[in-house]
Amino acid sequence: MRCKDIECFLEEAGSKSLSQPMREHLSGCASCRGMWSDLQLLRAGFAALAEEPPPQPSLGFGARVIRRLESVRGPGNAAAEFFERTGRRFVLAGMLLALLFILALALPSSGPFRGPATAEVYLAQPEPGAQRESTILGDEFSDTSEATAGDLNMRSNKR
Amino acid sequence: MDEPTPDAGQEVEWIKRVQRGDQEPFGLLIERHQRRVFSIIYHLIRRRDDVEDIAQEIFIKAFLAIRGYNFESSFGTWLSRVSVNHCYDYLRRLRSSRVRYFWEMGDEARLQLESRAESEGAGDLNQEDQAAVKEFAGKLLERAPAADRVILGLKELEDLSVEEIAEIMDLKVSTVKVRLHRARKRMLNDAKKMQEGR
Repeated sequence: MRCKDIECFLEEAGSKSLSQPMREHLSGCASCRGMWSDLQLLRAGFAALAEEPPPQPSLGFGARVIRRLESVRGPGNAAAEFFERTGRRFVLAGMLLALLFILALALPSSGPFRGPATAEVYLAQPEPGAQRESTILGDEFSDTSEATAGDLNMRSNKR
Repeated sequence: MDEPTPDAGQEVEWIKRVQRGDQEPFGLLIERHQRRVFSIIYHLIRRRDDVEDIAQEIFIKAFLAIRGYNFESSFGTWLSRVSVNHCYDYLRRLRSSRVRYFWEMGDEARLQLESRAESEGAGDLNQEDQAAVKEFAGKLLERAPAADRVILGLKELEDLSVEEIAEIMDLKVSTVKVRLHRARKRMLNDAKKMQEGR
């Protein structure tokens, strides 16, 4: 038997008695004998460790876990919480839009919050002064800005 | 691993209620499985004072993940898987935060164990010797990588069969056998190093 072959047998043999060829090999091979001793030693150690009784749950252990669970999100709550939060956001966004709409309707057409359309209408109206000048100067000078001093002089000379 | 209980149907009902978000039956599940979880934690981590805190974390983790439980394996096996994974993570964190060293036994204990190793076997050990080998195995386990510690703990301390370990760890039986063999070999090498004083 070779050392490599015996390795697995030794591992599986456990505390069982070894076969004759194995014993023969062990008696002649210090390395395998050492391994066997170590394995036995380990087994004994593990057996002793396994005999140690594990600690028992203290009184009310389950209740304490449940209490801790209450502060942790539960399996069903995650989805519900998501929808609740999303729904709340939709409601808030809707309320904000409604408020903006109401404000747009309720704002007066004058004042600091006038819209551009109102301003255009105001600017397009002819100024009262300009109307009066066009009446004085006649249709030729409907726009006073076009009437220069020279034009006025020419007109007076013609007359 | 999990003995079929007469009220297995009741347990299924409790699980379904918990899956629907009812916390109350989870207390009953804790009651039923807590000893097993405590045993796994103690055998894998071997820190008596930390067992209860770790068990709480495991049950909370299980509660949060219970919607993913699909009844393919028994609840006990599923919970054992959650426990083993949690212990594995814990051991990895513990190991990464610790300085590695080869030798941490006193000279006296080392000499005692060398003489044990030379003896024929360890079957007929007296109480004192048993304490020494227990310490030896415990220290070897503590020095072992997290994966070796978990698989050896389940096999040697929890006394589970290779098939049961395969089910819990979601591995093939042949993979478990190979991993066990390698873990033992690494541990024996480490034991040799300890005995040589390195």
